[in-house]
Formats: sequence, C-alpha cells, structure tokens
Amino acid sequence: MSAPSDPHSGADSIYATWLGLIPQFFGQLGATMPAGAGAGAAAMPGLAFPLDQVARAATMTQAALQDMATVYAPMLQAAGASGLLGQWAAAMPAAVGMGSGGAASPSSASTAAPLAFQALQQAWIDFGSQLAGSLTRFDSTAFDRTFGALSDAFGLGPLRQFQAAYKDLLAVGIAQADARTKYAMLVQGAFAAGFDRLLARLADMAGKGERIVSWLALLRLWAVCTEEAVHDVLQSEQGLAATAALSRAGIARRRKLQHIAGIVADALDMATRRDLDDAFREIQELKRQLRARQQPAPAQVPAARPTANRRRKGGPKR
Amino acid sequence: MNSAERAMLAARAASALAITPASLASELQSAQKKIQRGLKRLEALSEDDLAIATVPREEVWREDMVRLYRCRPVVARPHPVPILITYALVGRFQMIDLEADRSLVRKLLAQGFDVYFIDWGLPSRAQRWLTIDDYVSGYLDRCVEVIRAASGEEKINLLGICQGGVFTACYAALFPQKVRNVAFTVTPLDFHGDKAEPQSGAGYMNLWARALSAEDIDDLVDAYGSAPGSMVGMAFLMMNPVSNLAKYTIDLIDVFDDEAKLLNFLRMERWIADRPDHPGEVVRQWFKDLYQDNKLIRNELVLGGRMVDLRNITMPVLNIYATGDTVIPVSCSKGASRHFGSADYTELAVPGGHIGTFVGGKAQKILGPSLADWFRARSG
Repeated sequence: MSAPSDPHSGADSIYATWLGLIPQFFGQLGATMPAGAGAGAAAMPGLAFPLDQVARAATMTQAALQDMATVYAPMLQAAGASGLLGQWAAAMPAAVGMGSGGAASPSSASTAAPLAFQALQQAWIDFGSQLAGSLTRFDSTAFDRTFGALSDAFGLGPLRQFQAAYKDLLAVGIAQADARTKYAMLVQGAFAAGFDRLLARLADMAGKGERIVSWLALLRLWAVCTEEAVHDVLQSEQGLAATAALSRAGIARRRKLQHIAGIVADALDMATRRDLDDAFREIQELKRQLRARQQPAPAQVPAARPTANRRRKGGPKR
Repeated sequence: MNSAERAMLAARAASALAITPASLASELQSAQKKIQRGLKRLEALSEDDLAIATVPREEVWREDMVRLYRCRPVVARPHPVPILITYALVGRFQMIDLEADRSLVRKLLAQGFDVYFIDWGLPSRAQRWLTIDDYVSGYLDRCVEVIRAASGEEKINLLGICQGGVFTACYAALFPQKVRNVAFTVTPLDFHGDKAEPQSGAGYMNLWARALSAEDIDDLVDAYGSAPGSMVGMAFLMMNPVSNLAKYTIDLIDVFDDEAKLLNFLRMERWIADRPDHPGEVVRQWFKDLYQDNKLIRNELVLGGRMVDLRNITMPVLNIYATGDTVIPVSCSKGASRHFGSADYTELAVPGGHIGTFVGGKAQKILGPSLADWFRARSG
C-alpha cells in the first residue's frame, strides 16, 4: 500500500491560513473578534484530521455570530435595516465612505472595523504571497535566526560576498513590499466594489418587492457579491499584472535567500541545494537510460491500425 | 460611485431587508444550537468514519512513489477489457472513490468492469526532475504493460481525468497500439480555449500562466524545485477566496446540522487538503508548453524526443466535460473532435463543476453509467 499523506504538512498550513482569515472575514461585518482568535488553540486535539480544524472554524464562527448579535440587535432596534447597512459601510475601507450618508451612526464596533480591514488586508497580502511563492514574515524570521546565527558563529558576516548578497536581499525585499502594497490596494478595491454590488443587488430586490428576512442569507449574498467583484478585479489586466508582479517579487526574494544559504553552505563545506539537485538529476537521467534499454525503440513499435480491436490470443508475451 | 449616490442606493437597498431584532435573535440562537450539535457530532467521529477511497483493492505494481492498484471485481466474470484510470498529479486519486455512494470506481465495478487505477504517490525532492515523458512513457506505460500481461488483452481501455487526461492523451498518441478506447473527463485539451469565451471566475490558471513570461516560469521552478503541495492547494482555493471563507464559517452552520452533509464535507476536506508536491520539471512543461504555448492541440508537444500527434489517436474517443467547470473552462475541453484521428468521437456534458463531476448527485447519475455504456459498446 502506498504511504498515506501526512495531513500535517501542507494541509495544516492551508487550514491555518483559513482560520487566520476568519476573524477578518467577520471583522468586515463589524464583529470585534481579535485577529487570530481561536486560530491557534486546538478545539479537539488528538482527533482525526480535519476534525480539530473544522471545530476551530465553527467555534470562531459561533463567537463571531454572538458578537454580531450583541452589536446588531440594538442597532436594528434603533435604526432598522439602514443601521445595519451603515454598520457594514463603516467596516469598509474609506473609499466606500457610506457612513455619513443616510445610515445610522455606527455602534462601538465600528471603531474596530477599519482596523479589521487593515488586518484583512495584511492577511490577504500573506495569503497572496504564499500563492506567489514568497516567504511569509514567519519564514523570514526563521531564516534570519538560522543563517544569521550561523554566519555570526562562523565569522562569515564580514565576508564581502555575504554582505553583498544580504544587500541584494534587502533590495528585493523593498521591491516585494511594493508589489504587496499594489496587490493589497486591488483587493481593497475589490471588497469595496463588492459592497457596492451588494447594495445594488438589494436595491434591485427592493424594486421587485422581494425581501431578505434571514441574517445569514444576507451574509451569503454579501459573500456572493464580494466574490464576483474579486473575480472581476483579479482577472482584469491590472489584477493579473499585480499578481504576476507579486509572484516575481516572491521568487526573487526566495532566490536571494537561497543564494545566501548557498554561500554559508559552501563556506562550511556542506552540500548545497545545487549539489543535491545535480545528484538527483543524474539519478533521474540514469533511470531514463535504464528505461530506454528495457523498452523497444519507438521505431520498432508497430504503427497504429485505425480499426484494430482484435483480441490477441494468449495475451502479450513478456 | 460617490458617497451621495451610495447613500441613496443604500436607502433603497435597506427596504429589501426585513430583518428585525427578534428575527435576528431567533436565527442566531438557532445557529448556535446547530453549531453545538455539530461540535458534538465531530467529537463522536473516528478515523474510520472519515476514511476515503476504501474500495477493496490490491497493489499489483510499484516503482518509486507510484503504485498501480487493481480493484476487486464484484462480478464473477468481469468484462475482459480492463479500464485503467489515470488521475492528475495536483490531487490524489481518492476523488474517484471518495465515498461508497459517491464513487466512480464502484459504479464501473458494479457494471462488471475490471478496474485499475494509478496512485501517483507523494513525489519527494528527489523527484523534482521527473518530466511529463517520465510519467507517460515511463510509469504510465509500465502500468499498461502490467495490465496487458495480466489480462491477456493486446489493447486496454484508458480513462484520464484532468491532468491525467492530458497524460492519457499523450500516451494514446504515442502508444496507440496498446489502447482500445480512450475517455477523457474534465481534461484541458485546448489550453487557449478560454480566450474565445472568457468567463468571470473561470480559467484562473490559464490567465495566471499567460500573465507570466516563460522566464518567470523558469525562475519559479528554479527557485522551488518541486511546487509545494500547500502552494498548489492554495492556488486552487484562491480561485474562489470569499466563497471558501464562507464555506468555513456561515455555510458550516447548515452542514453541522445534517450528519450526512457533515460527513460528506469532512471527507471532501480530507481530499482537498491532501496535496502532493508537484515535480518541478512537470510544472515547467505544464505551464510553458501547455498553458503558455498550447502545444498539445497544435501537435507540437515533444516528449522524450517524440512528437505527440493527436491525429495518432485513431481509437474511439469519449470526451466528457462539466458544464460548470471553472478550473478547466468548458471551452478548453469541448469541441476537440477535429484534432483527433478517430472517426468515432463522442462528447458528453455533465452538470456540475470540476470536482462535482465525480461526487455531485446529478453528475453521478450520468458519468458512471455513460462511461460503462460507452466502453461496453466498444469493447466487445
């Protein structure tokens, strides 16, 4: 039997991303969950994957709903549906700017909303960076600790080569920050556009005499509208260019980090990434040669017969 | 839209909302109860409850990380021409047998077929140099040889899924003398098909790939070696980021309230999260030769020094696409008849999305029976 996948390798990191985004997701809607709330603590430790992760997501959802109920009930009481939409508008980036027009004053939760959006923005940046193949802040810190300490311990810091490489790393780090900012601006615009789309959809429904009576249905409609806006923005020429730029910046930074790691490894006479790759490439080439010896040459394979579907007696000779 | 316009729109929008403090409290109380019940359900579940791909099978061949399995036939005398199912590298084969009642494999077995499938396994760093040719002319060909020997059939039936469909197409073009019939499901054949019919929310991979240069792809592969499974998984999830967040939050509420739905959800999550690393050289070819240069449909793809000419696919072809597929846009799959050498080409649309083809209720009723009928009619 094949070895089962290790669910704690890639799967955990994907779930960690989602769990980290949940407070920001609800923060958009005015819930005041602190960023990262519940993401780290195991709800059902020791259970089969992904029970614990799903339990954590549900627990965070439960807390967010409770918080929203606390915030929204008095708002609905005082200002009706306009108050509700005003709360959401306050949670949107400033570009949306609906809070001053027609809507009721946002509740105390609204003061946390812009912060929630900033947190969402940062989460999106990290999210996009993972997609693009760059290192997250955590990875960078781990790298600095490992190789920074190593270089110090072995007196490599002053080496001209190492210093030059580190300078290059700083330069690509700046370029990466620029790419991240541009990407985040686009995402911010997409969320604002998604809210406008929700308003338009609701106004259209109102015109047809349709009503939404369920809070959760409203949340789902918001998600649909926002998703559509995100698609439009990220699939636009500008969105694709920003994603590509983010990808290039992440790759450039990773290669600079690898270069530094290579300098350290060379100095310590340790196998480098290139050494390993060369060895693996050679092994693969040898396997190909072996396969070629075991198979008949392509020219010896009989040509295809368009209607040949006859069964061969006794099966193929081996 | 300026703030005054938005305020007017909001005022109109607000009249569509009939949510009251009482209805809000009642709905949230109900949601809390559902979540509590769901959490209790989670606590009671075991590893066995969550197991996927449990069809009885035996390993009949292995090399490196690749395994070939033969599913245990459920009829005394299975159909003599076996079917080999080839899944993609970007996910695991378990999708073809996610649950007992949502299993393409079991449906084919029930129809009396002798079914084999390949598990591509978990490529390690050592496999970063594997190319598409290593998969097609190497592992896949060995699997076909094993099945030919075991069955005594000169030619066998091939069923390729998504990326596995591309491998299968390449194989059928390079080794037509070993293939009786070939079926593709949700397979990208024309990688530029989306250009003619752009669709919001669909074809992200096509767009991302074309937004990068060939040098960007080289840099990506050189920087990473193999593409980490988590990165591949994230790329898929990024295609629908907001609805994925809704899935893990507000949509969980109803899922938690239904035991069957909850089990479906959890098993699917297991599959989604299980992403193998993707060998770097395959990534390079996949993006440069296929997504960027569209060489497959142009008969320009070269594998192991041999040109992949789809016109060599003269055996019967069944091409199945999903009408709601956003990963592989419909326009990248359908309408491929003229590119094959076969005089017997059939196309079939199934409802649902890329994965829904294999697990969706409506698609399940169509996919398995259609494949069985088609193979049976051409394997006598």
